[in-house]
Amino acid sequence: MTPILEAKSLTKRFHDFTLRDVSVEIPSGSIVAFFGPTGAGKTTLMKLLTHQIPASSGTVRVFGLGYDDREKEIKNRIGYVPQEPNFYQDRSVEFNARFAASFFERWDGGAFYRMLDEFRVGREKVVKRLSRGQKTLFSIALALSHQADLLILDEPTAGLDIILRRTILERLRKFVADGERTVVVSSHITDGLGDIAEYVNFLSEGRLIFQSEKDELLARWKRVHFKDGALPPDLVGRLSDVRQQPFGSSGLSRDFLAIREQLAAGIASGDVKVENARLDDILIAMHQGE
Amino acid sequence: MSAILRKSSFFYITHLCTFSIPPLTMLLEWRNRGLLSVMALWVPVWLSSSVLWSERQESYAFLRTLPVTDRQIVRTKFSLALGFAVIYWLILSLFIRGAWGSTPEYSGYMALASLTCAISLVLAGGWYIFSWRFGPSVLTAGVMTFVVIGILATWVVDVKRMVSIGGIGTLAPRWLAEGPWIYQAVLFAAALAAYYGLMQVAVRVKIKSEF
Repeated sequence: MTPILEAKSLTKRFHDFTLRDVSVEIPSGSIVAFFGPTGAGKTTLMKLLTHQIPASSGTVRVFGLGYDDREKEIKNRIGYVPQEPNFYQDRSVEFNARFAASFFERWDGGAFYRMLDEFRVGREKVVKRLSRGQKTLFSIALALSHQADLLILDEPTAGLDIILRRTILERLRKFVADGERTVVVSSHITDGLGDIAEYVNFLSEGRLIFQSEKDELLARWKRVHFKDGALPPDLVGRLSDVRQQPFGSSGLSRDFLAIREQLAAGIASGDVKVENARLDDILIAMHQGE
Repeated sequence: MSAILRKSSFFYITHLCTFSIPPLTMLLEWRNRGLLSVMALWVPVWLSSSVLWSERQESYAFLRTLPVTDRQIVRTKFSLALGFAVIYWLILSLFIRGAWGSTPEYSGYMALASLTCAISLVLAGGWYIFSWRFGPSVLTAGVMTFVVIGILATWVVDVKRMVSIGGIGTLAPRWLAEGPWIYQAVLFAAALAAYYGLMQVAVRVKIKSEF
């Protein structure tokens, strides 16, 4: 299947940071998350994917098209929510929306204003008077109002309260429900996004160090709880993030399928329990190179 | 494109009024036709100032999220500056004809107006490139310095000349003022060619720009 977005060997050099050699293929009809700590290069990558900044080297193709000659066509089909939305700060929400609407071929003003009301963002309000969260909501409303086929969001839930965060996540889930539209989202926290993402990528220090289907990832990474002495030392040595707990210990297995048989007896006796690892724990383990 | 045009036009119009209304008011009040030369000499100043303020209020980060290419943005901005330079030249021409039409100084003033409009056009293109290459902060420093020097120089030159020779229409080069009309046409053609060249450079600069 042709990926909806394809990046090859993307590199962007700044004087104090370099995003190196990132290659990704985003399948159509899915939610793809890019996680990573602050400063990992997520925003740089999102900007490169949406052609906000020029790449030092590498290529990006969206919908099978290149930005060099089809930028307008591509951007008509992309809804982009930047980490720091940069509207015309001294002008109203209404002005900015009308300005943006004049560029899009498939603008749905009704949908936009309904969303604005739902998000409780005043249309007459001057943009610089909006909170960061309100700016993000305004940006999301814009991105969802021109019938985009691909949504790219950079830290969209940062600065939002838990209710709005859930609202946004639900919208993203609905956006891809027809199986034809795609969401690419970056975040430094997995909370919520980890639940809805089908593909997970992990960036660290300017490199894409991991990409996988989430289910495959969760099948391999498990947290193993065990009573002291229930596991042989060599097996314990293969676990990471081993913690002492009141009822024993727990550790993270990065390749559960390989040790499953060795745990079978412990599981049967009740001395060993296995549960899905939290995405946060997996990503931290990866970041620490374990 | 019309949205960008409309938005940026506001700054051109307000700056045109700011730099034109005072000398025009004085012209009507004092009946001193020499003030038209101030308007002519201020063309580079107000056009530079218009570029500066329209750029300072621009949000390219927002524009880049919209389906518009850098090439289109550059063309729009350059067309705007060209349009206003031409409009201003026409306005100046009308006033100069009205004020000096039947006098020997007329051709000198017209030549001066044409020369400053042509230079301003190229200058405006240069400022746009400067802005996209170095950012609005550096542009601000550059244009403000130019504007202050421009206003001071105009004032100094104007006062001296107006007192001594009754106007600064004579500042225009003799070959342009006393030559046939085709000289001014060639001047405009050269300015347009330079402006077009700058626009091509500007497209390349804008594509690589991160401001």
